[in-house]
Amino acid sequence: MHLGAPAHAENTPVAVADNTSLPLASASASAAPPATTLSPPGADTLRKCELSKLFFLDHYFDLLTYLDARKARLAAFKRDMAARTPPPSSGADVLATFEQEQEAAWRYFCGKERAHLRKRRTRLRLSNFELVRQIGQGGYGQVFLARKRDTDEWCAVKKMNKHLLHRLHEVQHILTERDILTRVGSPWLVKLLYAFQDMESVYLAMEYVPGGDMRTLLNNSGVLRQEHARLYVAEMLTAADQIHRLGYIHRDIKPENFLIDASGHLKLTDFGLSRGKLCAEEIAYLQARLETARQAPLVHRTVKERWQIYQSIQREEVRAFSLVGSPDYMAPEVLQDVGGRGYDHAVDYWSVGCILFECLAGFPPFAAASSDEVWRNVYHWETVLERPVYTGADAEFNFTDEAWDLVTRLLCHAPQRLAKLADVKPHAFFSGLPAQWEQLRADATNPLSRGVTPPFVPRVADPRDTRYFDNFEDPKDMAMYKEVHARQAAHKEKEGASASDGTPGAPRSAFIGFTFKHSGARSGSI
Amino acid sequence: MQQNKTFKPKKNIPEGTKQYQLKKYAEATLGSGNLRLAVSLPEGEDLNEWLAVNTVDFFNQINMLYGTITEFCTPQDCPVMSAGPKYEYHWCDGVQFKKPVKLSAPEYVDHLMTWVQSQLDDEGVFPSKIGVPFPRTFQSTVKTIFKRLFRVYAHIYHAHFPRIVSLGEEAHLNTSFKHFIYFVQEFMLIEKKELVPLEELMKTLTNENKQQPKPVTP
Repeated sequence: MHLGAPAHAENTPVAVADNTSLPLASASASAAPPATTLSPPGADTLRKCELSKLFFLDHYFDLLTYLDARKARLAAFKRDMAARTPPPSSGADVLATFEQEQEAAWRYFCGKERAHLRKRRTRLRLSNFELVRQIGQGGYGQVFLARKRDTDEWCAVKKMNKHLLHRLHEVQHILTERDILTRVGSPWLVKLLYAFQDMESVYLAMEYVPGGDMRTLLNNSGVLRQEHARLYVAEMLTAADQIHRLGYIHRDIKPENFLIDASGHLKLTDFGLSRGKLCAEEIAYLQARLETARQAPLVHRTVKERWQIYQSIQREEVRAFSLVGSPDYMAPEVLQDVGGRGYDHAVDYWSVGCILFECLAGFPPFAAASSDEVWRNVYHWETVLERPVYTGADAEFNFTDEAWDLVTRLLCHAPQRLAKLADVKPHAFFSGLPAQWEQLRADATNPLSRGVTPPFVPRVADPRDTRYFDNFEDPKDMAMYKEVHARQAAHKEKEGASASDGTPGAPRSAFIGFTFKHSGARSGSI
Repeated sequence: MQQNKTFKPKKNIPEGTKQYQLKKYAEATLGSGNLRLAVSLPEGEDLNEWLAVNTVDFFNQINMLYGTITEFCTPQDCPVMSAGPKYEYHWCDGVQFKKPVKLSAPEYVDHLMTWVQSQLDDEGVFPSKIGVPFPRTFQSTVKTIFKRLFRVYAHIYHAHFPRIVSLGEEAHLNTSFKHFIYFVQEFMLIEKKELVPLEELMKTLTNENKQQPKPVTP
C-alpha cells in the first residue's frame, strides 16, 4: 500500500511554508566539536534516560501485543465467516442477501477495529473524565472525584498548574511523585492510574480512596482507644516501610496523608516530597524559620495547657496549618538539616511516633497556638516532650507504660530510634497483632486471609458519595483553605507580572515523560 | 530465515513478568522482520487512521529521545540546527516566521515539536471523536510532519551520537529510527532528497544481512 501524491496538493492546508534544507558548499559552517571526554550527565538527564528505557520497553511491548491480538481477531472473524454457508439450494436472491450480510459483518468488524485504533491514538485529556466534585485542595491545585467515562473507573484526579509548579520549584517534586506512583504495587500505597497533561496543567489520576483521611478521623474521634491506635500505627509503619523498600523516604508523613479505604485500612499517599531535593528558596525559608525558633524563648506549657490550646484552635485552622507546612510531624533532623541531607528513612518513624502520640493524647506532641511556636517546640523537643498525666475523671486518658515507651523510642535522637519494621514489631505495644503485618489487611489473592477488622469502616452509599471529604461547595468548609487560596493568588499575580516582563514559564520539555497509563489500560484486547 | 516468521508470543515465560517483557522487547528490537511487519497497513484498516496513530507514536518516541539530550543540545553547543557539516535547517512556519530563519538547534527543535503537537491537538486535523473523518488534506499534513520529525533524528545522529551511546540510549534510537524509516518507505512519506543526511545510516540499519548497525560518523 503506497501513498501517491496527495490529491489536493495544490491547495495544501498546512498553514506553513516549506522549510529549507541547504546543502552548504563549505564544510566548516557547523562542524561537530572535536570528540572530547563527555561531561557527566545531570540528574534530570539520568531520570529521562531511565524513563526512556521504560517507555521504549513499554511501547514496543504494547505495540506488538496489539498487532498480535488484532491478527488473532481477524483470523477468528474469517473462521467465523467461513463457517457460515448459505442455505443449500437457495435462489439467487437468498444468495445475494447472504453476501450482503457477509459484507455488513466485515464492515462492522473493520469499524470496530478502526474505532479501537483511534482510541489508542488519542491522548488522555481531562474531558475523558467526568469530574463529580472537588474533594481536596493542595498547595498548587485541586483534587476531584472523577469517573473515567469509557472504563467507568473511579479516581481522584489531582490537577496542578504547570506555571505554579514551576514558580514554586515543585516540578521536581511532582515528577518524583509520578515516578514513585508508577512503581507502586502495594495495597498500602495509593496507586496511580493515569498521568496526563495539557498546555496549562498536569494531572495525576489516582485510585479513589473513599473513606477520607486520618486527620478527619482523628478530629472526629478526639482520642483513640489503645487497641485502635495499635492497629492504625502498625498499618502506618507498614505503609511507610513499603515506601522505604522502593528506595524512598516519604519525609512528609502526617495524618492527612493516610487515607482510609473502603475496607477501613490505611493507604499512604502524597509522595511529592519523597527523596525531594530542596531548592534554594526552600532552604532559605527553613533557615529563617529555624533562626527564629532558635532565638525565641521557649515558653513552657503544661500538657494540660497544650491540650487546651489545641482544643481552642479551630479544627479548620489545624488543617490549614498542615497544608502550608507546619512542622508538627517533622523530625528535628529534617528541620536542622539545611541542604545537607544528613538524615535517612528514620525521619518517617519519628512522624509516625508523633501520630501515635496524637492518637492517644488528642493533640500532636509539639502542638502550639502558632506555627512559629511549633517550630520552637520541635527545635527544643527534648524539653517539650512530656508524658501527659491526668488525674481524677481524666485518668483514663493516661498513656499505658508500653504506649509511652514506644513514643519515646520513636521520638528520640535518630541513632537510638526504632527505625526498622523488624525492630518495632516485637514492641509490647503491638502484642496481639498478627506477626506478619502485611496480613493486617486481607490478601486479595487469597480467599482464606481475613485481615484484621478496623474500628472504622466507611459506609458509602455509592461511588459518588463523598461524605468523608470536605465539602468544597460549603463556604464554612472553604474558610479553612483561605490561606492556601491567598498564596495561590499571590503566585498567580507574580505569574501575570512575569508574563509581561519576559521571565520564562515552564519549558515545554520540563514535563517530558510524565504521561502514564496503568498496565490494565494498555492491553491489546478490545 | 527469521524474517518470514510472524511474531508469536512465547508461552513458556510467565506472562506479565519482567523477563517476558524483555523477551518481547528483544524480539522487537533484534528481529527486524517484526518492525517490517509492524508498519504495514492492517487488512481492512483505513489508511488515514493508520497514518494518524503512527504519527503520534513517532512524535512521542522522538520527544522522549530528544528529551534525553536536551541538557547537551544547547544554543552554545548547537548554535545552528544542522545534520552534519553539509546540512543546515532554517525554520519557517509561515505564521510566526514568514521567511526561513537560522535558529539554534534547541530553538528549532522546540518550534518544530510545538508545531507538531499543535497539529496533533487540532481536532480538525487529527479528529479524536469516533466517526469524525480526517480532512481531505490530511496526507499532505502527515508528510510535512514526517519530513520535520526526520530532521530531529538527523540532528541527534550527527551532533549527539557519542552522547547517546554514553547514556545507553543507542539501541532505542536505532530501533526507533529504523521503525520510522520502514514506515516512511512503506507509505512514501518523505522525498528522497530530504533523506540524504542519513542515507548511509538508513542503508546500514535496514540491511538485513549486516549484523550490527553502525553509527554515522560526522
